[in-house]
Amino acid sequence: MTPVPSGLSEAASCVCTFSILLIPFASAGLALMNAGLSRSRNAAHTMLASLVVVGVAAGAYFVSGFSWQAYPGLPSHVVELGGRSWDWIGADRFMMRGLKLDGSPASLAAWLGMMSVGVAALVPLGAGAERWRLAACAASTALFAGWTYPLVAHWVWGGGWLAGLSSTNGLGRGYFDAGGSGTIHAVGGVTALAVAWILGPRRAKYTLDGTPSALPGHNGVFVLVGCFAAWLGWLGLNSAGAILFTGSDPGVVALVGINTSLCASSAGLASLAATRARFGKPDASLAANGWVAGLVASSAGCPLFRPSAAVLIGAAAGALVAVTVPWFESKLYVDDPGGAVAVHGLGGLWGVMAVGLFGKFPSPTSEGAGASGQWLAQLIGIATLVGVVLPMTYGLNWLLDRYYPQRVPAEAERQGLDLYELGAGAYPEFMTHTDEFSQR
Amino acid sequence: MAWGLARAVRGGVRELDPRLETRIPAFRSIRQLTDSWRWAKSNRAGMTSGRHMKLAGFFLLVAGWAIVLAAMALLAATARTAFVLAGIGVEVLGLALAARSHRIVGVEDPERSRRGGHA
Repeated sequence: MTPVPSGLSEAASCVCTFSILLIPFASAGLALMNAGLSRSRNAAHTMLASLVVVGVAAGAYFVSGFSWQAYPGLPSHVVELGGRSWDWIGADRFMMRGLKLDGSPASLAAWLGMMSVGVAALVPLGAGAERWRLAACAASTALFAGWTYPLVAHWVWGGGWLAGLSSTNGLGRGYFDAGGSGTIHAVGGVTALAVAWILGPRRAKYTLDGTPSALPGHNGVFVLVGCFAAWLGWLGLNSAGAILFTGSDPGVVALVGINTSLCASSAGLASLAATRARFGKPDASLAANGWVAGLVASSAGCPLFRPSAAVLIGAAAGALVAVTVPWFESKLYVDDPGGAVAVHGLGGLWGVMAVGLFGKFPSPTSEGAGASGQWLAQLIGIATLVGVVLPMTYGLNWLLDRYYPQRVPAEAERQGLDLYELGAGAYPEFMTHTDEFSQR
Repeated sequence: MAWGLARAVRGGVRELDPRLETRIPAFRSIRQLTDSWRWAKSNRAGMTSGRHMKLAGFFLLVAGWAIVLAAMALLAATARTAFVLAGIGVEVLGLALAARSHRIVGVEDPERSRRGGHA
């Protein structure tokens, strides 16, 4: 990635600060979508779990996350391998004690990281909705925000080995991910897959012969309002990432905003068209998922894409989601109520690869590195996300599950998590539950 | 020991008054704890052949990444690309195995599925 300047101009600091302030909208959008896509008996639980997840993620990131993520120029552990230096993990002091919180790029990166890790931690919640214990969800998030996310974030944004592929192997600008398609969303997406595998499908999701049953969400309006909120949050996420992690000029926010919006729009429309062609009518929840997949895919290369390329990237992401969400459900038997694996996992990996295919770097760096080999650097990033993060996050959640079962008992699913874990439903005046369990 | 103690307390409480659990939150918590442990134990005992496939799948995922990393660290530019692609191929194989193993656990074993589909 482009070397990050040691200081930011006043304009860059202002733009960056304003952009970071927008990021909670992304969290709110994802929380609304997860709540809307779950059944009414679990709505309050899903919203509360979202709040808990964001809170625990911020705490865990503060305690150990940033020290392991670090920032270029802060201490880190380096290993010599094959005559080259590989930067593996940050070595800053715990609880941000080694960091001056004075508006420096490192302190802004810490703030951005704290916001981003909340967004990333919300992703697995979509896959584990309606059957994930609140306390287990919090414990899993602590592991995620305190270890998994910071490790990958160091490799990409903290001066780690993936970002350094340019200097160690001469691959383009090294692995490039400005807004976090891979670092935030694909990491969240593969964690969502691990959680969905460990928890297993919801009761009554599949009949005994393996046919998936429809368990539709209770509020399409929540889902669509969530899309608008997420859009706003993503504009901040991508702009702040582009300035802080790629050293882009603050003026790049215009291009970032246009690309982000075009990607989301074309993705939403593509998934609408794909569902209409397939089912005869447009599907609102899949279109919303497509919209978010477009946002996810835009993140990695938002300061690099031309607007026409952004339209293509978004359309591909939307079509991908419209095809893969039903595929995960019916062929792989992954019960993912929020569509997190397809939207964030596959959308994120596609965004990472799109940098190698469509990214236009403005000019070679001072070291003379161009974009040659960029696609290979991005491919190595994808191999790392799938080959390291998935086994690691699965192993951590499996260990947690051994000592504290993450899934609620069958009775809780039947009753609804609102009543079982919280003691009160989200909609006490409207009890419209039907029994979906008769088929078993 | 803790398990035995919890079980004894739970049995004693039940013998005294079945409604006690609903009246006193602490007894209810003990019941929930013992229930969840028993549930987890029964699921572990019911591991299917998917376990070996799962282990092989995750092993291949890590092995594929190791091939990619070794190619980056040790090989010259010409051979590097081919080995990186080979490593990714191994990862795809591992991912397919891992997905298949969870399909067995989640759906194809009706008894496990009825109990909750715990992996």
